[in-house]
Amino acid sequence: MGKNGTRSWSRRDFLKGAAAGTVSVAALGAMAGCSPQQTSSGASEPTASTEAGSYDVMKELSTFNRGEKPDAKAPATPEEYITMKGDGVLSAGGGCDPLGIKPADFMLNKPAWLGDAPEVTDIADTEECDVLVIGAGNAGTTSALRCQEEGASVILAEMQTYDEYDEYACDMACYNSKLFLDKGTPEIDATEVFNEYMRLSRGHAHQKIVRDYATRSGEMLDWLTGHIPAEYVEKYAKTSNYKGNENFNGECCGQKSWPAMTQWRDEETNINMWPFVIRSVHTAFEEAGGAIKWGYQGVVLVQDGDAVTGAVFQDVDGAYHRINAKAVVVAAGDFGGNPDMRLDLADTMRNLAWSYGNDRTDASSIGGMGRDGSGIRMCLWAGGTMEGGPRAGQSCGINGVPGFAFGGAWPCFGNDGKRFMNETMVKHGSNGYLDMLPEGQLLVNVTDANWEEYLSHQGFGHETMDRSSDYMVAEVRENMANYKTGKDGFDVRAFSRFGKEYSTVYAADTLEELADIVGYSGEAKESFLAEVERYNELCAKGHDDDWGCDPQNLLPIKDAPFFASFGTTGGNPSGGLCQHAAVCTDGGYRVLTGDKQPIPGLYAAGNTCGQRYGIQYATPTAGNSCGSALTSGYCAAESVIADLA
Amino acid sequence: MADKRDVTVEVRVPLSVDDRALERPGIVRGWDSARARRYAQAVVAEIEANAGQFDDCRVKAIALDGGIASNAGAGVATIVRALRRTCEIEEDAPVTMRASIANVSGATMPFFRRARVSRFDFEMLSLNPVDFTVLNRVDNLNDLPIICDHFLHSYANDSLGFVFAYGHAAPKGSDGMLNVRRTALAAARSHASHVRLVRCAGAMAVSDEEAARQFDEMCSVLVDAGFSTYENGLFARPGKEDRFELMRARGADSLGFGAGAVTRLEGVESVNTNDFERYCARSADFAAITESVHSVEARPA
Repeated sequence: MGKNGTRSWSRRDFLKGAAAGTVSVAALGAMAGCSPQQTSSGASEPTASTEAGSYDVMKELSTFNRGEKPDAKAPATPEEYITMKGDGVLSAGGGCDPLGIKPADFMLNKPAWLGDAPEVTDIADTEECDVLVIGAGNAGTTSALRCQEEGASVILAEMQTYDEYDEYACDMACYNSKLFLDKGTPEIDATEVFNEYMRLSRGHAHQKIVRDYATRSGEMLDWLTGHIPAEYVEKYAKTSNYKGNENFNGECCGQKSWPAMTQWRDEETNINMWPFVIRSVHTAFEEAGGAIKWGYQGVVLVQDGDAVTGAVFQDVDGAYHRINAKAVVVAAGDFGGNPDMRLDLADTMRNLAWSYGNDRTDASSIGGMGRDGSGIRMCLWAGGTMEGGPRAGQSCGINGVPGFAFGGAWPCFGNDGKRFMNETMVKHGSNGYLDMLPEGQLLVNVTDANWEEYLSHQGFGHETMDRSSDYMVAEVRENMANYKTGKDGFDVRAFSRFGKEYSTVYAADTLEELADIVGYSGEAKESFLAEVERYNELCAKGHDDDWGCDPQNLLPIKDAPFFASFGTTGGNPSGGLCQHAAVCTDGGYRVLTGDKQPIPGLYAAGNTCGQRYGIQYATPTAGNSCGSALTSGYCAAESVIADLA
Repeated sequence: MADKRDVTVEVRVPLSVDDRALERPGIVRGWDSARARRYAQAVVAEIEANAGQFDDCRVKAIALDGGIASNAGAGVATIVRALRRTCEIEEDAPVTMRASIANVSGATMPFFRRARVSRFDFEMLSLNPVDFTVLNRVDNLNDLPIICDHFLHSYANDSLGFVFAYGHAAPKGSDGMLNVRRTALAAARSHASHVRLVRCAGAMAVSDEEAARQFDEMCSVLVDAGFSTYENGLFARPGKEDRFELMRARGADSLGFGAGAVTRLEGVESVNTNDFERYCARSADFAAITESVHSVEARPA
């Protein structure tokens, strides 16, 4: 029976009846008449009331242009100008008349994705600990282990179950770790690293957090690997480019890069081993006395006055659990996987989408691959604040040109066969520029038989494959030696960007044939051939008069066979991976209120901790996001332990 | 006890990201998380309203489709959890989900894993050439195998497939045949386990003759690369055929939930309404959401 006592028909009831010939299809309408009734209006969601004002843009225009002041004239003398400007308060030239725009015409002060903190009353059980860490990813795991080692009793809560657990990091850039130094990699001046990251953030990042990363990430990695079985470190920790690149001078167009990326990979299968290896850190944490709560989704922080004293979680069966703690470290990741938060907070991406004519209120216009933002929401409910914008989306606008399977910055030709940018700026300096190219723009990277020598001039961002791994170099060399000409291209397996994968390269014995393969014809083909000649002249000169390409990357296209890699721009802006904008902290990872005062007992690390990149993520070394997250967890633990002492 | 009837389950999620090439009737386009959540709750309500009704059935395969089902996000786990509570599902029953890379994130993957999704059919956003703009501004075939394998290694090997369009108009100055050939080659170079070819719809569609030529070209590439075709438009590496599709092709009985879903048992079919709002409002009320019931032989044209 239905809840209200009315017979509730089910599909099978009816199908059985129909099969037996006892219920006619025509009875369906009558049956609907006796089923529990709901009016459509009653069932639909209430219409959201709107407080939007009546801002009239035409009125504004008529006020501020000459529509209402047809006799207005510009000052003709300095005296008239000074008189018009009055006392100078408005000398910036702006009017201050109210426009009649109500707050609701802009953004809501409390966004819909945030709402109010939930109130949970049916708590199944309560536990106690010194330190509660929310999120068993990179930052949370390091923070929990370090706190536990320092003598605190720690509970680490993770929303995924043990069986479900996965994480997506692989590359971790950590400067001056023993993994590199012991192999002979020269020690890096960490203050240079710090300065470079601050420059790339245009000063928006938090200097203490960036300094922690630049100066202590190596120390952190050494500590971390001390908790990982030696055979895993030996087998899977690939120290990318540890030998350096013999012809790279360390700086490209004023942008520096360093070899410091450890990539956890299985050579044969190319499996990212870090999600597996980090489980050994979880084990170390448990062996040190810590406890892990798997399948615990953070719901809301517990507060006593302003202080945070724990959190409430929901398990996979829906039951609520409370954990009280003297300190709570939120390391629950970013908001990139939460479309509503992404739409509101990822302002760079949203407006890039808008600039393409896409609907800026449609989250599907902007991609994102991160977590659900629950950690950030919990911090904000507790009084925390988001960092300002524009907010950094990892890789938003960065992965611009196709590049070769083996990486590198190569001369790039567009639809008309001509170069259109400084190719050596691509990895850092053209963020946003490539996003603004029109749809259907062909991007063609070209090199020649000397590609391997040219690679030795490249930096260590996402520029090149790991040239220090002999097995990798050998495989690429073999693939390239066995090149096939033609429009189908051939496979090259190389270690660049996301891993050691097959990728397509096109080859030709002449540049004319290469142009045909790419799809250049007529005038574009002639331009392409002429542009290659021009480019080679600039290479001979050693100065790129056209686009300012770094001289060390001015490498001529002259010896057959010739190779190309290409793609075309799409109709959407790039979305990026995780989002780096998050809650403000004091540099000691204590979450700050709007008054910039720390909230007692609340800390943030990893992608929940904001101001790590300011307005833009960049890659002086590939893997720095993960390295920075790990380091923030490591250093946040120090603040926690100091505050608890 | 009598042998149970082997059935499939199809859950229709008629939500879609903006997709210019794979348009379908009855699809609700664009993102609205409240709407997605409401729909998932409605499907759960429909499933729970049928608890006990299919105790004589054993589910051998599940498909989440009818749109881009991954748009339901965490709701995917809620839906499959409800299915597992109310139906007997064979332990190794594959769960195939029509998906978009736009929905793959750290916020959804744990729930896809919780739903035990074992096969992903990834629709590309635009297909001539293939479009990976969610990750990369550039439609770059080079990234196809790279991103595929990255996904596979993160989730589980042999779970990834593609939905590619054929019969797709080429950009001006571009060779459509060459584009689809290169797309198929890129798929073949990846570790994708299966491919579905779907005729391009809407304004981007080309003539029947050109579509047929493109289809043949992609077939040729895929077969040369070791895929075999087992149903029209469906390709798989050996042993990676979709059990759901195989059973459907054999005419197996099927339980359907969601807007527009069809349930077919013992020669009788019931068809749910395609009206999204009506379905969401009254999904637990069979009579209110059922569009028609008829014998299979008397299926409406």
